[in-house]
Amino acid sequence: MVHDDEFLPRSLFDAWAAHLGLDTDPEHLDQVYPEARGLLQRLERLHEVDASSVEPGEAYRTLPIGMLEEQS
Amino acid sequence: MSASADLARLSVADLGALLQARDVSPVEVVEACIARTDAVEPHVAAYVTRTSEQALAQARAAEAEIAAGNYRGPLHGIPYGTKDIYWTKGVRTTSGSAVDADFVPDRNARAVELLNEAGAISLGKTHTTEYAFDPTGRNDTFGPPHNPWKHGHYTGGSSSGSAAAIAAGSVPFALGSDTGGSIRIPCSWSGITGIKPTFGLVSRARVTPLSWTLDTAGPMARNARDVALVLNALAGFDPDDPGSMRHEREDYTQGIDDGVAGLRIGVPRAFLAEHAIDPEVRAAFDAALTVFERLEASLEDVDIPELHYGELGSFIITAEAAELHRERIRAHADKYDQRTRRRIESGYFISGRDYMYAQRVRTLLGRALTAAFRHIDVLVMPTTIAPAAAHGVLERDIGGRRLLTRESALMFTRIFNQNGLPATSTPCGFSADGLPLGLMLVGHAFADRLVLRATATYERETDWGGSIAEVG
Repeated sequence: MVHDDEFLPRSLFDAWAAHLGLDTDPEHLDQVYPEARGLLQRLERLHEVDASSVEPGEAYRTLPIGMLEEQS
Repeated sequence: MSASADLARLSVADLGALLQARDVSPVEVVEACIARTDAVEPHVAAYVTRTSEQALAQARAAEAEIAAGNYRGPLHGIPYGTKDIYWTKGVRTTSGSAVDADFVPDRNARAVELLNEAGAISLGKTHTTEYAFDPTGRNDTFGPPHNPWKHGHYTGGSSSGSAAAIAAGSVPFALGSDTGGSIRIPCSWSGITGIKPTFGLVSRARVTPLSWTLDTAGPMARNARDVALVLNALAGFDPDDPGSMRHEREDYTQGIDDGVAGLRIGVPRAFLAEHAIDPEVRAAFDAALTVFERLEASLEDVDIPELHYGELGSFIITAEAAELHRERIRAHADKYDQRTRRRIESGYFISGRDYMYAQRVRTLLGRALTAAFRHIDVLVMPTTIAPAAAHGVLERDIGGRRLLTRESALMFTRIFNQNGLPATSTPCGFSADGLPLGLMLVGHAFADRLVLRATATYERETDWGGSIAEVG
């Protein structure tokens, strides 16, 4: 378990942001950092969901295939 | 009150009946709505761009057509508002952003083409949050509309101007779009009715995208019957929209008066109990359930733990928005509202693996909803967990918890975008300080007609909706 204060240290974020092509002006990164950090922390929690029963290839459909099959 | 002011208060259905019978002309109707807009616009600021002259020219043409016996149908001569992400030929389409402040499309969105063919008349482009990426109505570039029920409060977004225009009596219906709740949230906060149709039912061609697997186009109005009438004109397959679905043409007003007796209405009580919900919203929701019981619907407790996965929608929206905006941000970074920009840029950090995982969880949610809808016909929830926030309020206390206003607005609505299910919002009460509260009804894929029927039935039994706000 990553402690909250260890999650995405600023130095790692800055390097990552540069790699991704963001404007690396420190003032701008000051603003993006909490947004990105919060998003990624919430995303970590999503990985706690066990989605192993879903094959990756099943996942590209907005409408549930089961509902459409039942309807036809 | 003048006859002209009365016309601006009427529904699509009532105006249509008067127009078909030639008791009023499209010019009278459009003039009445323009006059009402002139009166309320200084207070609500619903429009980015008004097209009154063009509307009057269209009204004169419609008048001549109807007089010649060429009545096109229930939308002929009816004014409406066009959310400013729908492309409009020759009329600027800002998408709520300074980046596109001067963008004038050379084609109409397919939905606008369909409304033109039906004879409806746009009075202008209604405000949206920047690129439809905020659920409150906030827009620091063009200014947020004011909630017609309470000045200085958000209307809900992103279809903010459409909601303000309808609630204030400027137009009887408008185009909205819904990626995480952008039709339903403004309907809830502004006291009107709208539907996020089944994904793929209404074309999104030439509607500025935010998230291609979630964006849904749809109508907003003052009651479910009007929404159904507009959906009749909008629904249909369009090869220009990669998400468009082939579906048998339906009349969404058919059976709308059939009631809800015997319908199985699912209530996810366990899920709702785990959420912070404003006490007034909870009380209004409980009262709405008693209305359905009185109408002999069968209320069924449904336990769908996967509803908690709704937040995954934020990851999918943000990742897709990041990809859609990457080059535009590189070219026009300074023109973006910087809050929108950093939200979009946070999506750069979502990896391919994360995005794929979110899609797999989305499929789990779809399976759970498929299973639930084997036992129920309609699912009901509050649309939003609290009424509208005041302008500038970014965080608020709701039900004992401190929440970001934008997250709190999306909390329930975004769940049902994930699997494209049809969902309406209709008024179900007012808070003590006069702000509307909303009820959401959700159906099986392509059960739009059933959801509208249940919504219309509730509306007939209550008097929370249908009226316009006394503005000014």
